[in-house]
Amino acid sequence: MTASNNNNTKRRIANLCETIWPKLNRIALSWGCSSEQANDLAQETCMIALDKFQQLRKPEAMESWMISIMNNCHKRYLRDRREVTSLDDNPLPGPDDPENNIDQQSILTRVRRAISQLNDDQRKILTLVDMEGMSYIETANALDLKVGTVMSRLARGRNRLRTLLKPTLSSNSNPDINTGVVRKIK
Amino acid sequence: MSTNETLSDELLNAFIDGELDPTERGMILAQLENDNELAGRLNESRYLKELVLAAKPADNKITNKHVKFPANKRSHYLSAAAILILSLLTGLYFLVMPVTQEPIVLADSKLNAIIESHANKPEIKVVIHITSNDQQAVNVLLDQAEHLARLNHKLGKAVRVELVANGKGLTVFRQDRSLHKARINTLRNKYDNLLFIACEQTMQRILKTHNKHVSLIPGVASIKSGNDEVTLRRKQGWSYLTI
Repeated sequence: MTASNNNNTKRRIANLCETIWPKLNRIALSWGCSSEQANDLAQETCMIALDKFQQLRKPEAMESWMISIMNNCHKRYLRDRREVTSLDDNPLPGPDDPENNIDQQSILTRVRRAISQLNDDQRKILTLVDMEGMSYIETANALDLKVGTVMSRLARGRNRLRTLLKPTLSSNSNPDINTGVVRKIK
Repeated sequence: MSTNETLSDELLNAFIDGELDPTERGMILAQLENDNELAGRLNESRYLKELVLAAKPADNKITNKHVKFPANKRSHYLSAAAILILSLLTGLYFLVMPVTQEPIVLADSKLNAIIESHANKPEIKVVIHITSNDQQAVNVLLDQAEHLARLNHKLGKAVRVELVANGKGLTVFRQDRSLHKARINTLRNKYDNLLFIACEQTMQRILKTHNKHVSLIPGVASIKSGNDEVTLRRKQGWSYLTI
């Protein structure tokens, strides 16, 4: 890389840090971090990305690369501190009126609780694919896994979730939950 | 033939995740036409996927909205030097100046007006009415409550503050949904002149309408009617703050 390329890449990473910031925070929250931990994790990820920008092999995969940095930070975080919170602690999206949508909120609370009962590997894949809409290849790159591993862990995670949420799934054959920005299934 | 024997979970997941090539996708679509079991399985998987997406953490949980880029080393040194000088000057000020009553300077005109209106009264009494769960607005009210609670020490004057929540504001005191649990616990433990009160009528309405028993943050008291409590306090001459 020339000096000019270096500067360009570093500037692009700095710009990406600004734009990807909410996403990194949200992913960390979905991995079970508290809001403070998510903030720390996103911050640490951006700083490492700026420090190690020369290690970026594929500039087009910058986002996956940053999530992979965050994944490594998160693993270290879990190893060092063992402080994780449940997704139950995160605020639920939607109107704040306590007297509205209580049934829907109750379903979402159960879903979050079930997600927090998955193991870390399954939870990370499930949240990147289902919450962030990442492809299997992007997820594999972000978590430094093979696509086949992503698929098998995703299948195990979803099956576990299906077992945990059996009453919810069976009582909602015609779901009317307000999913807001549900991604259209291709 | 059972779909469990022919189609793996991985393949069906890839179908609903849009990861299959057209040939594989066509194969599943063809099988779907005559296989109700497969249709049910896919519907359930799609619903599960939608549920996970709906459980995505809300952006309002993100505390800092922007990444902080490190300043260069030179500015680090300058900042450190500035802090050192400021600390020395502050220490010198307290050494040289006689100890006087700490001035109350708040950038909150409502609070200042309340404090001024109590200048000749032995006690400051304020009722804070929480009627909304707007996170920012509630934070402002909690800040105001804390400012008032501190006056107890600063002015040597008795201060009593009641925070009364009803309607949408009840969420602030709910154990299961409040975004302010930690702050309220801290305030409650730190200041004994703050009283947190929830409206029982709102709690009963939630129970009746949604069959949901509301549990409050420990230490939050309840009263029959939040509105009546606020009205009573105002009649008794308490100052009033709300969102």
